[in-house]
Amino acid sequence: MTKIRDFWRWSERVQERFGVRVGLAILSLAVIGGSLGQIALRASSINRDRNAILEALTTTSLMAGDDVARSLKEKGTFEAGGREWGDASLRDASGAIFGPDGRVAIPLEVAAYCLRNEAPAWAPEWLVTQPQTAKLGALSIAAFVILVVLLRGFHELLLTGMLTGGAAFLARSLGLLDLGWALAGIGVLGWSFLLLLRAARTGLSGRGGVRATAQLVLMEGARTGLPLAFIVVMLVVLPLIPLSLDPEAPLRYRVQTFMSWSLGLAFWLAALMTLLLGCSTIATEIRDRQIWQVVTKPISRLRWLVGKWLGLAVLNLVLTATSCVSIFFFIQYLRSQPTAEGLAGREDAFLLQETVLTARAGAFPTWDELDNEQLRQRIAQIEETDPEIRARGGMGINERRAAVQELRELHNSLQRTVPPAVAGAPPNYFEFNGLSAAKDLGGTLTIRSIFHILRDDEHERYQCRFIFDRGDGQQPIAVDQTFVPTMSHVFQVPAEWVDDDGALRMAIQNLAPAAINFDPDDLEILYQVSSFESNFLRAALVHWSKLAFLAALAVACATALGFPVACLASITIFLAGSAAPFLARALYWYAPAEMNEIDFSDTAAGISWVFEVIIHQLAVAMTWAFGAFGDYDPTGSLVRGRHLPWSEVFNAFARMLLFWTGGSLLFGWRVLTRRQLAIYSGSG
Amino acid sequence: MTATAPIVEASGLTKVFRDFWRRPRVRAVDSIAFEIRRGEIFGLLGPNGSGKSTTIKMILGLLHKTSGRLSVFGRAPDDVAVKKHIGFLPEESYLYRFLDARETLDYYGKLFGLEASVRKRRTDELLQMVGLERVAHRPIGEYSKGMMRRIGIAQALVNDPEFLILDEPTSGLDPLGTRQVKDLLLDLKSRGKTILLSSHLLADVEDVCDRMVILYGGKVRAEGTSDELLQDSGRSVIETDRLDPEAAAAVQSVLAERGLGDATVAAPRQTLEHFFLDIVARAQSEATATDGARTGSGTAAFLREESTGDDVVQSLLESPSGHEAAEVVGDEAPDDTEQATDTHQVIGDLVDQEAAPDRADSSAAASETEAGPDRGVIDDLLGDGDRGK
Repeated sequence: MTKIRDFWRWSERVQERFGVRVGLAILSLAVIGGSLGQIALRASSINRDRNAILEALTTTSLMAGDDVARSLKEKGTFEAGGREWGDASLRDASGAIFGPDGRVAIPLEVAAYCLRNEAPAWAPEWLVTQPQTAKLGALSIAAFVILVVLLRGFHELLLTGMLTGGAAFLARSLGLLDLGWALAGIGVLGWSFLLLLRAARTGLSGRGGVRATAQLVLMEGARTGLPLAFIVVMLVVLPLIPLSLDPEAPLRYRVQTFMSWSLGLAFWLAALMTLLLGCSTIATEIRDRQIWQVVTKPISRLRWLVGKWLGLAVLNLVLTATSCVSIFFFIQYLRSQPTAEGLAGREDAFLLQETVLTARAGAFPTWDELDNEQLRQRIAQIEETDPEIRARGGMGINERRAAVQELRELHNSLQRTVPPAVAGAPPNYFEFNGLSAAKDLGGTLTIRSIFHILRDDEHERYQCRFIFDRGDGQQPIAVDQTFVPTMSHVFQVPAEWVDDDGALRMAIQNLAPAAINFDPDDLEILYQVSSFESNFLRAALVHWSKLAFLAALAVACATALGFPVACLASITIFLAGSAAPFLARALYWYAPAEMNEIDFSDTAAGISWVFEVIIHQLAVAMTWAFGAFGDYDPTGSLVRGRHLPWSEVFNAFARMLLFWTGGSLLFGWRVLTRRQLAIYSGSG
Repeated sequence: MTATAPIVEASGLTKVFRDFWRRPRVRAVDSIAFEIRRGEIFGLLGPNGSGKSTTIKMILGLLHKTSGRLSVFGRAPDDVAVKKHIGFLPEESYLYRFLDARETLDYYGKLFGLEASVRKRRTDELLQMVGLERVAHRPIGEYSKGMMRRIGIAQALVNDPEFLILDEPTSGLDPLGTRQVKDLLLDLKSRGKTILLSSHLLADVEDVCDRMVILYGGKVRAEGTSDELLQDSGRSVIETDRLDPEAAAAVQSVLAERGLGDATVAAPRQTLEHFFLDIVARAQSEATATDGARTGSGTAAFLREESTGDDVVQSLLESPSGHEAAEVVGDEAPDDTEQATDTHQVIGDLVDQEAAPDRADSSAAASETEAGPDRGVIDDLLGDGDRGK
C-alpha cells in the first residue's frame, strides 16, 4: 500500500514539471499517430481504392468488350484507380463473377477480395472499413490524451486503466467476453467523465461570481449523493446495454434498439439529475442559509442564478459529451458487425445503411383542400337535402362550423382511400413537391408507406402498384409491391424521376380486393441529405439544449418553492412537456360534445360534461404551453434516420435557450429580488 | 461619501414581519436610530429576539426594512457595490459541506473578484491564522463546530473588508481562540477597519467595543461609549498600591479630614454584565414586550421528578471524580459564590446559551471580572457598612 501511495505521490510531483508534460504529450501523440493515425490514413486510402474498383466493375461489360471486363475474365486482374488489382483466383471464379448479361454480378465481393490485404493485420476491421470513424476516433483520443497530460491526470488514468483493465481481463479469462468489454467501457466512460469534468472546472476557473458559482455547482454535482448516484448509474448502465441486445435480431433493429435505449436512458437520467440538482442547489442553499454568505458578497442575485444555471448546463454538456461520444463509437462498431447470410442479410445491411444510419428528409403528398366556395356549396346542399335542418331554417353557427370540419376531414380522407382496381376504379394520383434538393443530390428516393385494409390482419399480404410519371413524354414506370397491413414498407426509386420543378407524380393502383387507406403521415418520400455522423452531432446539441432548459426550469422553481415542491413542480412540467405530443394526438381524436348537444336536465350527464370540458381545456393548455419541448425529439429522429437540419438546431437553441431559459431565469431573479432570504428568528 | 461619514446610518428603522395573509405578526425592530462611525468597534447587545440579528440582516440586505432610513457606505444595503467592502460572519457558519477549507476560501475570494495569486496568498495566510492549515484538504462537513467557526472567520476576512460584521464571533471557540479573535479585532481596528460586533458574551463586547447600543424589544435602550454607559457617577474609588496597616490608617485619617494625598480618585466602573442586567430589569419592570427568549421558568418538570438537585450534587461529591471537581470549584469560587451563581443563572436565562462552551466562557469571564481587582484594602477603608452602596 505504501509503495502504491509513494508511486502516486511521485507521479503527481512528476506531472507538475512542465517539461514532463510536454514530453508526455509528444510521446502520446506519437503513439496515437503511429496507431490510430495510420489506421485513419489507411482507411481513407482503402476507401478511395474501393470506390475506384466499384466504379470500374459496375460500368464494365463483357458484351460491350470493355477492357476491364475482358482482363478480369481472361487474367483475373484489372486496372482501377491507377493500380492493377486481382489475381488468377478471380479468373477461376469468373463464372460466378459475371452475370448472364455480361456485367459483374458481385462487385462488392470482388472489391473486398482485392482489398483483403490492404489493411494492417492488427487494425480492427470495423475501423478500417469506416475512414470517417477512424479519423474521428484518432482525433477524439488525441484530444483525450492531451487533456490528460494538461490536467495532470496521467496517474489517475493509469490507475483507472489498471483497475478496469484488470477486471475486464478477468471477465474475459472466465469466458465472459461481453462482460469484459462492458467493464472496460465502464472504466473508460467513468474516467472520461471525470476528465471532462476537470476540464470544465479548469475552463470555469478564474475570478468572477458567475464562473465561481458555476464551478461550485460542478463540484456539488460530482460530490453530493443524489446527482452522483444518477451519474454513476448512467456511466455504469450505458456500457451494459449492448449485453441486452438480441444477437439473433436483424442488425438494423439491434442498432435502432441500442440507439433508442442508450440515448433515451442518457437523456432521462441526465434530465432527472438536472431537475433534482437544480432544485437542490438553490432550495437547500436558501434553506440551509449558505446563501447568506453569498449574497452578502459582491454578486447580484441574477448573476448568482445565471452561475447556477451555467454550472448545470456545463455539467450536462460533460455528461452529454461523455455519453454521446461513447454511444456514437459503439454504433460505429455495431454497424460493422456481420449480418445474416444470404439475401435477408444483404437486405438488412442495405436497410441499415439507407434507412437508419443516414439523415433523410421527407416529403408528403400535396393534398387538395376544399376552398370556401366549394364548402358553401356543399353546406347549402346539406341544408337543402336534410329535412330536419330545412325545418329549422338552416344550420346554426356552431353546427355550420362542425359541418365544415366534417366536410374537410371527409374530403381529405377520400384522397387517402384507394378503391380496388378490380371494381374498375382508377388509381389515385399523388404529387410530392419540394424535391429539387433531392434531384440535385442524385441517388435514390425511398418511398415509405403504411397501409390499412379490411380488419388490418397482419397475417395477410396484399398487392398494390405504384406508377411513376417521368414526364417529358417518357413511358410511366410501374413498381409492384406486396404489403402487410399496418406494417411500414419501403422501396427505392431514382431521384432523376423528379421533374425540373422538384415534383414527383405518382399513382397508386390497388390490386387488393378491398379499399386501401392510410393516415396523413403514412405515405412519404425520403431522401438522404446529410450523413449520420453530422446528424448525430446535431441531435446531441438539441439533446443538450433541452437539458439546459430543464436546468433553468429547476432553478426558477426552486427560487420560489422549497426543495420537495420545486422537484414536484419541475418534474411535472418535464413530464407534461415530454408527453405533450402524445396528448396532442389524443386531443386530435377526442373533444367533448358541443354544449347544445347536452341534455342538462340530466344532472349526471351535465356534471360529466363539465368535467370533460375542464380536463380537455387543461390538456389543450398543457399541449400549447409545453408541446414544443416534446416536439424536439432528437433520439426519435436518429432512430428513424431522419435529417435534423441545422435550422431546427438553431430553432431549438433560440426557443429553449433564449426564450424559455431566459424567461425562467428572469422569473427566478424576480422572485429572488422580492424574496427576503433571511427569516424571523425570534419566537414571537 | 466623505471620509468622515458614518459607515452605517439608521434612523426610524423599523421591521415588521407579516404572516401569510400579510397581517403584521411581529415588530422585530421598532424605530431605532444609530450610526456606526469609521474606524470604531461598535457593539450590538441584546437578549434573543431583541432585534439585533434583524438589524444586522437589514444592514446586509438579507431583509427589507419596513420603514425608516438605512444606509451602508451611503448607499442602499442591497446595493451590490457596497458588498465589496463588507466582511460578514453569521452567528453560525453556513458553509458548503462538500468543499474543503481551501476551496471554500478560494470560492469566496472569487466572488470578490480577487486574482488567483491574491486568493492563494490570502488563503494560505488565513488558514494559518485560524490554525486550519493542516486540515485544509478535509471536507468541511467533517469539521467540528469550533473549526467551522474558524473557517467562517477566515471567509469573512478574505476580502480584507473595510467593514466587518460579526455575529457572535467567539461562539464555539475555545478560550484561546476567543482571545485570538479579540486580538484580531483590536488589530483590525488599529488598521482603521470598522467593526460591528453582536455578541451575547458581554465580556467580549466590553473588552473591545468603543461604542455600543443595547436593544430590547426592538428598541434602543441605551447607546454610548463603554465609559459613558458603565460609569457610575454616584460613587468614588480610591485606587493605590497595597498599603500597610499604618499607611491605611493614615489614609483613613486623611480621608477623614477630606484630604486627597497621593491617592487617585476616579469614577468606578461597574461591569457590563451588571449594567446589562439593570437595563433588562428596568425594561421588564416597564412591562416592555420582547419577542425573543424570555426568562426561563427553571428546570422542566420531568427533569425535577424523583431526585432533587442536592441529590445529584451529593452523588457527584461521593464519586472520586466528583470529589476532585468539588475541590476545584471550592478553590476557584469567589467568596460570594451564592450571589455569583444567581447572577449567572439570570444571565443564562436571559441570554441564549445553546452551546456549552459559550456558557463556560461566559461564566469564566464573569468570574474573572468579579474577582479582578484586590478590593480588600478599599473595603477596609470604606468599612462593612458602606459595602453595597
